[in-house]
Amino acid sequence: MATETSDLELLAQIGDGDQNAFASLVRRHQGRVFHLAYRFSRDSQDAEELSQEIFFKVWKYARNFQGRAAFSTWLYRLAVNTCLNHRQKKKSAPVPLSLSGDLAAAAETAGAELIAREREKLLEQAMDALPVRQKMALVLANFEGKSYEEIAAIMEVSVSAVETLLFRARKNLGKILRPLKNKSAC
Amino acid sequence: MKMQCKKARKNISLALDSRLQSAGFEELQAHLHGCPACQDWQKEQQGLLELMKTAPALPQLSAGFYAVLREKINEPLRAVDYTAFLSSPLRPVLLRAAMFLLLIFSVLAGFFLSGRLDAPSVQSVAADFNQAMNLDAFADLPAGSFGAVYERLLQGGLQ
Repeated sequence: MATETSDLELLAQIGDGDQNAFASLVRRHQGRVFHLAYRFSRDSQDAEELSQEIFFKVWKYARNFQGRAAFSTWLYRLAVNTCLNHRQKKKSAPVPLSLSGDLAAAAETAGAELIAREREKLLEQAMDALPVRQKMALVLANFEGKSYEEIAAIMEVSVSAVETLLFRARKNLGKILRPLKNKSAC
Repeated sequence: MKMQCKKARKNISLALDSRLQSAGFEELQAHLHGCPACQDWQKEQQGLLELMKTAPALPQLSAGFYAVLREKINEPLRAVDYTAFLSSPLRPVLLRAAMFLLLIFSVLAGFFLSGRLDAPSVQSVAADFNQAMNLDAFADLPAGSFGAVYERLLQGGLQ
């Protein structure tokens, strides 16, 4: 609660053009914002650019913050919208998933660690193939530990829409990974 | 059966996030008891969740992150950001004012245009109508032809 109040105070100062307050706020939240952007983009350079853009928006719109939502929700909303817009601009075609012998080869030759690493890589690729909003809901729920209510507030949708997004994301993820899993088991 | 499975899988998704109510949970257990496909789906989803929990370490921000950001915020604005209006607290007031001005403009334009438009005379309307209907089109046709009979009908020659 105290942190939240401090964030609000800092934001008010940022609204008046205080760069020291902005530096403090960035220091406090940069890790969280960067990790969200990284989980979404899977590229540290992209994630850093996105984080720059997100904090630049904080600087620009600090005066417009009306306190209707908690500061963290507002910040996440800025971050999520920036990531989603970035993805739409980029319009990157999803990378086709293929084992390319990696997992099968790893299973034969290397230990569990390598297999686990390959699985993580496949999971990331499969997440990339999901529709962006499903992916974002999954990132917020499973990596950021946000509740359904928080996700609904951040993504500006209803709680039942969050339930549906997560269900579809999981269903699609299973569908994408299933053939690869079966292939690796052969 | 398919609908039941869809509902059951949605409930599995909720249960993974500890969002399923006890009644729904019992219903799900009953369904899982007799549905190996949904049991597999549940296992698959649990596996995915475990996999997500063991995600690799995340990279760190570069040391110059804030320096770049500071430069960015100190740059003079190159262009007016018209989208800032969308998040302005004055937006509702400005929108209402714009709608009111549009209404005033429409009413004034209506008065202005109605004053400038003259009502057409009866003769010119009749001439336009005759031209459009092309009533003389069958004038040169043989007397017994369909066109000539039709024309006489139009002129009131046939009763």
